[in-house]
Parts: sequence; C-alpha cells; structure tokens
Amino acid sequence: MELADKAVGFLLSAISLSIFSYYTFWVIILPFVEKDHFVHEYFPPQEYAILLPVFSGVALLSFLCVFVGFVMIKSNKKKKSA
Amino acid sequence: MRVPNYLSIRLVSDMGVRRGDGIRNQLPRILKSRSAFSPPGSGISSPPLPVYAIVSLGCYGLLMVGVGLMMFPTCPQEAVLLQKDIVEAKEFLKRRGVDVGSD
Repeated sequence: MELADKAVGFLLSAISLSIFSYYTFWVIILPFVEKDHFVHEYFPPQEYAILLPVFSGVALLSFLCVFVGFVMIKSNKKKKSA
Repeated sequence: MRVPNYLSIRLVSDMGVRRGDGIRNQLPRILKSRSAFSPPGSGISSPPLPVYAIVSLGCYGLLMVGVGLMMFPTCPQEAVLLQKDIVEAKEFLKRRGVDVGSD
C-alpha cells in the first residue's frame, strides 16, 4: 500500500512543519511585535511557550519509562510461570 | 456619593485595568511583573532559545521521517518475483522433508 505510506508521510511532514512555524512565530517573532497588534490574540501568553514543550517532554519520558517497566514486569511474570 | 460615568471610566483606566481584561491578560501579571521574553536592546538574554532548539530538532526529525516515508521506493516487479521465489523455496524444502511452518 504505497498510497497509504505516502499519505502518512505527508501528514507527518505537514504536522511537523506547522508545529515548527507556529512555534517559531510564537517564540522569535512575537516579542518584537508591539503589544496592541491583533495577532497577539491568536497566541497564548509567552510563558506557555516554555511550559508546553517541557510538559509534553516530561509526559513522553514518563510514558516511555512506564512502558519499559510494564514490558519488563510482563516478561518476568512469563518467565516465572513458564 | 454618585460618581459621574466619565469619571468612573478614568478611575478604572488609572488603576491599570485595560479593556479585555480576562484571565488571559491577567495571567502574565499574576506570574511575573514584566513580559517573559524581552526583545534585544534591554540587556537581558532570551530564555526560550534552548527549548526552541530542542523543539526544532524534534520537528526536523519528524520531517525527515515523513519525507522518507513519502519517497520510499517500492519495486512492484521485485515484489512479485520475491513471492514467486518464496513459493518455489517452500516447495523445494517440503519435498526434501524440511518443515516449512505456516500455510
């Protein structure tokens, strides 16, 4: 199914490009725009530009650790019962 | 004492309350007294650049994965030939008595 592969690849690259452009605009361009411009309405306050990636990174790492621990426990249980 | 309407508006604006003062506008003031990232010329280095580097690295990795997926070369003729080879090999081995697993 090469069409499904191409669709998934296109979706992934579109998501990554949009996240990159939004984040770049948020972090680099917005501090230089004066406070009364309407474009500030479309972005959360700038503290979240640090909080959001850090929080999602912590969530990802904890999910990975939990998954590894779960697999280890399951393999130990299987070895003990077999 | 009854304050006239225009005076009450002046008092509110003197206290620093701006129009559109929802939680979104109040949250920076609650967290900090100045804006989080100050533009250059103020002598303060910008805090978000390391986090920005990590986020852009992750985005770049995701982009390369997506591009590689899109440009992956599939060879339909070789796939057909491979399936034929597999069938042939299974038949050959079964004839020689080797156990060839599935189907």
